Amino acid sequence: MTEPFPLPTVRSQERQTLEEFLDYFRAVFIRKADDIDDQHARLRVGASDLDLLGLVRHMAGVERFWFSQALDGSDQPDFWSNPNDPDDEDADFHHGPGDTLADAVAAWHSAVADARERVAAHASLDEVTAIAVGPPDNPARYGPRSLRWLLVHMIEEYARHCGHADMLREAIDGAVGD
Amino acid sequence: MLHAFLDWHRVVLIRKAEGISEAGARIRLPPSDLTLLGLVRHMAEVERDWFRRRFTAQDAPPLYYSDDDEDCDFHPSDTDTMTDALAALRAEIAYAQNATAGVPMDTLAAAVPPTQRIAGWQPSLRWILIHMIEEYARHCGHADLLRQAADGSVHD
Repeated sequence: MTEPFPLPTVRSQERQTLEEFLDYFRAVFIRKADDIDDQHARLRVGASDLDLLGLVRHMAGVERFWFSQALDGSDQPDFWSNPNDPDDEDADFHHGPGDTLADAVAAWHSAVADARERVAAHASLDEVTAIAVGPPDNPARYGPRSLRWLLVHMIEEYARHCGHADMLREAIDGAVGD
Repeated sequence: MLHAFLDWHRVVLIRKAEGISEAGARIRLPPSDLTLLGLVRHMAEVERDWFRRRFTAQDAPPLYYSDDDEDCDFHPSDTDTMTDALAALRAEIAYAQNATAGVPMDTLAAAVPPTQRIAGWQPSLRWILIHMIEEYARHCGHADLLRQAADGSVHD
């Protein structure tokens, strides 16, 4: 596996702190997929149907959704579709036998590079997404979100999936930690 | 907003641990030795460390640490219970919520424990809250898989 990423610094201002934590978890997350073959990328643990291939595809899509489609209102298409079910909203997790981890990792890197450029183009954490998000039938939770909210959400989204990836990677080859 | 995100993950972890049998609280997914009981004890210890010992410099000895096993929080004995672990976690959360309510985010931790590996490493409340959010979220990821293995439940 590649070298760990530096820990976030402790005296930074708000925006730098959020961006450092997000970049830290991006690095932790993608390291979990280092040196894994396509068979191991499909390994599951316990009763869950999560695997590393699905998680990497999922986070590529999450980066594109939040920073491109939501924040900037872009019309970039979703990365993944299910050929057997065009309405499958979990097509990222439901990969086919020909799907590869290499393609998923490449999509992830491309989405992250795009996300970093888009975030840098917004001067204030108070700027809000171009589209409303959340459940339309719940006025308290439906609406535009600030860039600040978006960065905190992405940190916890990555961290939770890193928890899943921790268990999967340990089951594959015993590797643990960041 | 940081307080709200942190409180959400506190609730998620507690829900993952509630309503489970003592046997279910000890289910593992080998080779990992994590258990739901161990995770709840661990987060009680983590809350105590960050908010009592570091942020408010309170002289609060660890709940579970022992010289024989530094990871004793993760390694409950046969007689330790989830009921006790959840009570400890809720007490530490209540302290943390009181100690940080209305406090400016740039406030630095009052204490730097002598065991701190990096000299002068003294984070702001903002840093601590973001760290706690990702710490909880990551352990909620572990808890997701453990709870699903224990009884099939998958919700937040």
